[in-house]
Amino acid sequence: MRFKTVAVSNYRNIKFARLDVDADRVFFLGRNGQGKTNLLEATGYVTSLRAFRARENETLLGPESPQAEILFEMEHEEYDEVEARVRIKKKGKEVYLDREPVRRASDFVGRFPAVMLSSEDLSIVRGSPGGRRRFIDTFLCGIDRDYYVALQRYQKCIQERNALLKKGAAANLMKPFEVQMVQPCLEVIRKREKVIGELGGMASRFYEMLSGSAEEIGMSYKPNASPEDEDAYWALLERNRRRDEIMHSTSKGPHRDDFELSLNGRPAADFASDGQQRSIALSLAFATIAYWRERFGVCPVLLIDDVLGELDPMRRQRFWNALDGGIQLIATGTELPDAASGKEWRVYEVEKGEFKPSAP
Amino acid sequence: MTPAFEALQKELKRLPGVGFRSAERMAIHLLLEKPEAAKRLSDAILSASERVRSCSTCGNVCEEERCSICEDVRREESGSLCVVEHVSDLMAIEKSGAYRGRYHVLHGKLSPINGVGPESLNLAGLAGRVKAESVTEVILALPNDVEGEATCHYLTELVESDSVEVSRIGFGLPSGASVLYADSGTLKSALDARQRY
Repeated sequence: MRFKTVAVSNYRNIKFARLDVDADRVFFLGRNGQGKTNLLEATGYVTSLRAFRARENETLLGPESPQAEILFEMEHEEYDEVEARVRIKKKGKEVYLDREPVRRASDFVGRFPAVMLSSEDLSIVRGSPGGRRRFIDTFLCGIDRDYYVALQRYQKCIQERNALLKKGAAANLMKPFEVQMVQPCLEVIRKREKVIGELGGMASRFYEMLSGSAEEIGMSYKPNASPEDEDAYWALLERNRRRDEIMHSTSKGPHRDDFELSLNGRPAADFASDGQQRSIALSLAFATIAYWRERFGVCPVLLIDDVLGELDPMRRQRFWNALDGGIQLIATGTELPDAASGKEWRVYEVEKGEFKPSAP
Repeated sequence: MTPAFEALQKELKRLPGVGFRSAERMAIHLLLEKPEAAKRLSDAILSASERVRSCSTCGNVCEEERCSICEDVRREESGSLCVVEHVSDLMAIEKSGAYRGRYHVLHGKLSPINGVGPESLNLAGLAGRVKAESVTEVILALPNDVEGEATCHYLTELVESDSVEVSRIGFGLPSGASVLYADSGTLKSALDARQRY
């Protein structure tokens, strides 16, 4: 897919901007704090209807503005020319696809894949399990609607069950929620296991290209519990019931899962150097792009927040070599972009939330 | 604005489905544009709140001890009891004319996060009703979200027996709608609930 126009109003510090981004390489150039990343974040919103840097809607709204709006005009392998509009309010959001309201987020999430590279990527290697779960869930929710529904259902049930555990409620009150956890739980575990294996395999393909060294990287699922069927899940719940009652929360299940990235068989978080970790994170991003391409015939857009500048010239060259030719790339930075990309950049200069095309 | 105006607006805003703007519009309408309507409305509210109560049997609205549906003996013939979340759900089913049995209104659904347990629902009389009114089928007309499902499960444990069958209303395409415009969740339940033709 490809973005042709991105327009935002009252999004963080951007009052209004409408940019023609119909080019293979687009660059937002400006000093720090001017709004480059804000627009990039708004652009990435279309993928999972979430901002990569924010949890609360409220932080996305411009000063004293009750709502923010983002408009995307895109070209998509499957849907052709398509227009999406998102209205973000303090509580909730409205989504329109070709002017028709989208009633369920699950019908929209993942249709328009964009992959974000930012300085936070390293946390995939050395950050908390929660960050890695978010990565795998965001990816899976994008490619598999059933997974999205199952995950939501599972998480809701866990919340309700935990609320009951806090109150010291009787087992017959928990059962109605536990019954609903079984299938989603098994589905979540099964699908995470499969996709982690597949992504890991793809990522090691890219690691060599990106790092120039033939080390083996691996990605292995570390399930917190891995019941194989319904009976095993019930047994697991029963085994931990007493403990859950004391801890006031559900201790075992995919809501506590993790996966590990390894380099030559050793945990990358402990044994890989900074540069190696960076290459691992990049490989993973490239793997998700390749996955979309190979499985669904859709080429995601690559959004790069400021990280190209952090790569040394050697790595940068390898980055361009590994990059898929047809991909659209939208990047930000404080200095003019790399000439080595092999293509012409369309540059916008950013100042105080305003975007101006740069004279060539 | 004046303090009295704001006090009214604040109260209106508390009502379900009313936001800040609607409350403002209502307040202006009642106080300035149609002041005679304010008296009528407040009389109607007062008189209704004195007379209208919850049916002691099913939870429906009524002005006597029991509602007209519970008083209607013909309603017992079908042997079925339809459990709904809100009175408005009951009204919707009644309007459709598709059902001629009795009802039971829960006034909510189980949701521990929001502090709603069985004790906050209209459940006290349900099991007794099923026995006393010789109900043969309990129809659960509750939403199919997590809380609705949980409530169904809880109710089934509560009322199901050899002589009482528990069923659940179907979920699928709205009448007259085309497959093309249905969202994926709806299509999935419609396919799951397909019937031999």
